[in-house]
Amino acid sequence: MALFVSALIIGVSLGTIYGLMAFGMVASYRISKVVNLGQAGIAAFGASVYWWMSSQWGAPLVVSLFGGVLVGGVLGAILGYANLKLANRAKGLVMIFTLTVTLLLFAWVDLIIPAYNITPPSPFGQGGFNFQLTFITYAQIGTFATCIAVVLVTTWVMRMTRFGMFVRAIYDDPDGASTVGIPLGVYVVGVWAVAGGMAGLAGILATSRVQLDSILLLFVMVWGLAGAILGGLESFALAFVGGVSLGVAEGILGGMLGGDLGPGLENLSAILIMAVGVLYAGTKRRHLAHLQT
Amino acid sequence: MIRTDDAAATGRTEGVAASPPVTDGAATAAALASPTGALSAVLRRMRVQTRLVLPALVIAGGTLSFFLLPGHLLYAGSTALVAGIIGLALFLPIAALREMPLNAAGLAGLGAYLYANVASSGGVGNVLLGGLVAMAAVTGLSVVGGLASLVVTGLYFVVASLVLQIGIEKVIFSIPGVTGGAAGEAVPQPVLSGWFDTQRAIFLVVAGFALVVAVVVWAARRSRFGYHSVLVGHVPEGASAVGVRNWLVKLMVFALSGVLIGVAGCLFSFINGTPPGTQSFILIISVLYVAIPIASGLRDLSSVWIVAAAFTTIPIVLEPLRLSPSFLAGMILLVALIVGDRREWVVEQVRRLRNRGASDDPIEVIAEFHAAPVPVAAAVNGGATPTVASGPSIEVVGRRDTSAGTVAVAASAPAIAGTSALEGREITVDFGGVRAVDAVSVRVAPGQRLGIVGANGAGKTTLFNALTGFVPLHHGRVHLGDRDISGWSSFLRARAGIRRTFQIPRLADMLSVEQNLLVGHGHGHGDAVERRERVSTLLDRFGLSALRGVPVAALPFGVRREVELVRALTRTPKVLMLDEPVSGLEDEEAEKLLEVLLDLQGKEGWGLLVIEHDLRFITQVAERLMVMEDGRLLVEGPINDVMRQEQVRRVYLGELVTAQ
Repeated sequence: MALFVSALIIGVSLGTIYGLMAFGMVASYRISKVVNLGQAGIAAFGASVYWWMSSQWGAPLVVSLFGGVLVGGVLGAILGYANLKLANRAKGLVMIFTLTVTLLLFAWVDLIIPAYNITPPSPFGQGGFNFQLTFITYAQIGTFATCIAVVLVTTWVMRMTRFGMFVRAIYDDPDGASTVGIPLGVYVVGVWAVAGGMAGLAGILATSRVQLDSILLLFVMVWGLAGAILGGLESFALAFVGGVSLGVAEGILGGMLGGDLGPGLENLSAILIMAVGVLYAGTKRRHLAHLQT
Repeated sequence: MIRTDDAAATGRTEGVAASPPVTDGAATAAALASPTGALSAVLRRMRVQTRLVLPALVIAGGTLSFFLLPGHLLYAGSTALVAGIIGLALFLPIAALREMPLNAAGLAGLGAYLYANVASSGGVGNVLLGGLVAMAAVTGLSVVGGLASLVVTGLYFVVASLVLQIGIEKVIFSIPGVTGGAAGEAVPQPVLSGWFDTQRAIFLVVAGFALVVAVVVWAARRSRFGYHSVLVGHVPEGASAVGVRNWLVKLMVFALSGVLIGVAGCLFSFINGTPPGTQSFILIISVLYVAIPIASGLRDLSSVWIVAAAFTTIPIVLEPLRLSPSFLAGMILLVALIVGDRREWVVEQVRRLRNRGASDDPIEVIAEFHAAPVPVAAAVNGGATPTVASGPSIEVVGRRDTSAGTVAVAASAPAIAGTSALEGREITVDFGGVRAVDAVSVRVAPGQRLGIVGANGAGKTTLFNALTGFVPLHHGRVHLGDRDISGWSSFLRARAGIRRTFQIPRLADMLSVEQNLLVGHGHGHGDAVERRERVSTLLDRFGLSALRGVPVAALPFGVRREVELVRALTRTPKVLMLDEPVSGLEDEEAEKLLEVLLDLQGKEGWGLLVIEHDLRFITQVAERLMVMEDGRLLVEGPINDVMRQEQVRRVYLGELVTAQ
């Protein structure tokens, strides 16, 4: 039981990071119909800025956290602006462009961080507490709470503010929104900036648990993308739930069965869930499209 | 470009072919009679040669590399050839099926490790067995990945293939028994010294494989399988409508792609003497492999080799600079994107240079085709002494063969079609909670012509889709003759002789008019000569002969519609179903189409079912008329009777008659 609870907590904590990444990907996809693979690069760069500010500058962790998120937001905004400039290109081409940005940001991160493996300090401290034979770290609780808080605040902004209303109007009908005077460009860049900020935060939360490794963040992005796909790339709630589900599957099945199945197989469960989810979501959407025609 | 002053030499009057079509030899002789014509002829010959420039460059580059490069650069060359093989393997699904698999690196890695595991035991037998095992496994996994394309497409397929890549990377590559552990398995290589050393021998072997792969892919692209795969990828409904098994074609493309990637995987191990580390087969590498065909512009195969060579050799050349692999990969991808994005512009400039003074450019042909005056009387009078409508005084002569109405159906054309009538009984189609067609019965016997009219949303096209198997029936049955075909898929119905067109033509843009028509002939019916004869006859009949080599993408909407109609006729149908056939056509073009259509139908005897809003056309083409409203059949009967009914005139026709 203790093993299960421990695996569940690890999974939920990890899943909320995937969910956060998925949330940002849905946001940028809905406003520009481009799958933003730049999220991985932004996550890596945000995490490296966080590490640099906290470990090299000696800045407080909270300040470093905001620094990393802010840089992520700025990079997201730049990428969003580039996306605007590439608006008349094929969406697949722009998607590959965002991946190119990720690769170049990875290269930049390689320049910033030292050659040896480093683990940035957790913004929530190193300690923890025992709960019914299970040791729960502050980092796990903090990660979970932060991701949930960000998602709730973003949802509130989207539903209750003028900014959110305009963004939803653009989501539904960009041309219609522009005909009533909504500046599309500003909002596209704004939403990509928010998505970039989320990626930066996800990068900080993920790397402070393991280590600052760009390939690791590539997989965080892939898992986030899978979560977004599970939500049909349209629903924020489903995307977040999809990301959390994948994390829980990875945590529980990997944590409990991984040792028995052998090395590497702890990923199998999450991969299978992802495969089934993608096929299901794709089929469902095809039926929807069929109805529309 | 043939101008009016050349018209006399070519035996044509402006805008109209007053004599039978000129043969190629006669045209050449006539063209050479003027300086402009001579230049055109020379450029036409040069065009054939310029097509060979890129392949020649690639072969020359490979040959020079073999003789001149030192060993370590020959290694780069061998690696480039293997990357090119993967590029070609991905060319097929990306260019034809329009699906982007992101798992090539994982598959190649699997091939490399499996080959090494078996071949490391030594001996020719084990080497061959290793190759077979690797190719079988990779092909199998590639087909498994291809199965996803039967369920999901586009972005969802990309992610599904990415899942397969991660599965290989995270699960299979984590098994030491597969990868051979840290040391890896040693693969037999030739051990030679002197000028013809090991690297040169390896390069020669890899080049041999590359040549075979290039020929295979080249032949596959130009085969009916290649045309079918393009059709399936670009217009799946159109493929089904002409009897192509979409699922089979897709899986065959992925199988072929898998075989080629398997070959590449084996060669990776062969080149290195041991399979490379798993870092060489990760997701980012898969993305780089996908970038190879994309950067090549997805047109000609030679470009794939050039891009692959650039992708592979640039990192090796820049190795002394100790640049980050991510930076190199990112820069290569960026360059690939820029080149891929700008390639159309470069191609266009080259084409303009090449065609300066010539008039064979497809786009120009179309422009000329439209600039031409319309031969009204050619259609009406059956081509006898046509009346020439006034046209541009000094502009180009129409390239379209305007003697359409005069060409007889070829003697080899099939005789009267089978006696099967198409019958839909109580056809009912629901979309969610909406009933699009409600218990409509319809019957078209051989030789019969039935029209369907109704307002937008009346359910006409849905009825067509139900009869042809494109939407499932909620209730009712469909019969062809005495066979119940309700459960048949759309391609089986097409093969049984139910041919159709769509409101928006579903043609393969990448293929030429003729290729589209040959695809439309379907699988395994008649020999090649017969197929081509039928296609040529139809092209002549519909006046499209001059456009046979033109890519469909360059055609205007009305011509595309005609090409689709011709495609539906490439195999003599039992029932031909046309969805708004004259929408987008000029009145004169519609009249000509009507004449040819009725003539063919009279000779071949198939049933004809037509949806059309053009009341004049429908009254000329149909003997009986169905009127639909809100998914229901309002009335059906002989056209004159139906049109006299007060209810019909009030509900639907009255408005149209007023509009007319």
